[in-house]
Amino acid sequence: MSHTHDAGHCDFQKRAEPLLSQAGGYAFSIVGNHTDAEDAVQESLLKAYRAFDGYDRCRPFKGWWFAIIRNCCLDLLQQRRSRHRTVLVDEAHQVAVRTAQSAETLREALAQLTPLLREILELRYFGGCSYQDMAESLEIPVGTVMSRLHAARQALSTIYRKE
Amino acid sequence: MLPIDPAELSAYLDGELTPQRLEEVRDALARDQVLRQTFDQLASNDSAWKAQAKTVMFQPRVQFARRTSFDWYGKAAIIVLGLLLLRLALKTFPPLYAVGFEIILLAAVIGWGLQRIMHATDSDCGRYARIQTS
Repeated sequence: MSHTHDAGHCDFQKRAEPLLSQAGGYAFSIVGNHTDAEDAVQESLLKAYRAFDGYDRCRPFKGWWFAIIRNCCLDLLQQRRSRHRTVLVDEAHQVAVRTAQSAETLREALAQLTPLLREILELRYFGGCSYQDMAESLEIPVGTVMSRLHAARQALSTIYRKE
Repeated sequence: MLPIDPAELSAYLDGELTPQRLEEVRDALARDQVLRQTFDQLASNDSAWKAQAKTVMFQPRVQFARRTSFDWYGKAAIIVLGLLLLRLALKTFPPLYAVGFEIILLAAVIGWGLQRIMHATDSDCGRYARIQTS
């Protein structure tokens, strides 16, 4: 039995590890700072690992995990709203925040979109998700991903034109 | 050939079209100047947004959970320990015999509830996703 667990653990880590940097970027796009993004990714890893036994290996792992990341981020935002939280950032992260100024512009523009359009662009640009991954994550058909992503891009470019 | 849907330009840009449709869109772009301009604008925006998003990519410092053999041996040990404690309690305080069954039932319900809370299932994750998109 422990062999099965070890194999499951290795399989999980092998799938998740190469996606960590995109997971970090995706979480950042939702929560807006590196500390919370890191917390959300850590939390999502635990949740995903616990649910991994029931995960259908035929489905895209990235889309499945990123849906969990999104939920962890939303939970974190809700907690943050309910109590004022001091965000501690270490020096390395402060540097990272400064380099993220241009991404902040993009986040501000995304904030003006409807949630449906915003989340698909976050998955695409910050999460680097394929259409299959986005379909899995949002539980919609690939055809809907295509049309919604195009509509979202049109809406975003309209916002940029106004600014 | 079917007319080109504007959304297909996005899919073409993302490399998500079937090989046949990809050829058709490529031909249409070569022939249609207006379509080409629309696509160029789309590609230009896309590359700018990608570059902006890339600046926040970072490697989170996380630890992977490690499941140990505690799962099975630990559960068995807890059950045995619980039964021993219950036996000890009943011997020490005989009046507890009267509520012994209720105590076992309550412990079982609490244990089951904790198990449900601590182990999110695949369907739970799906349910969360549906809630936040609605």
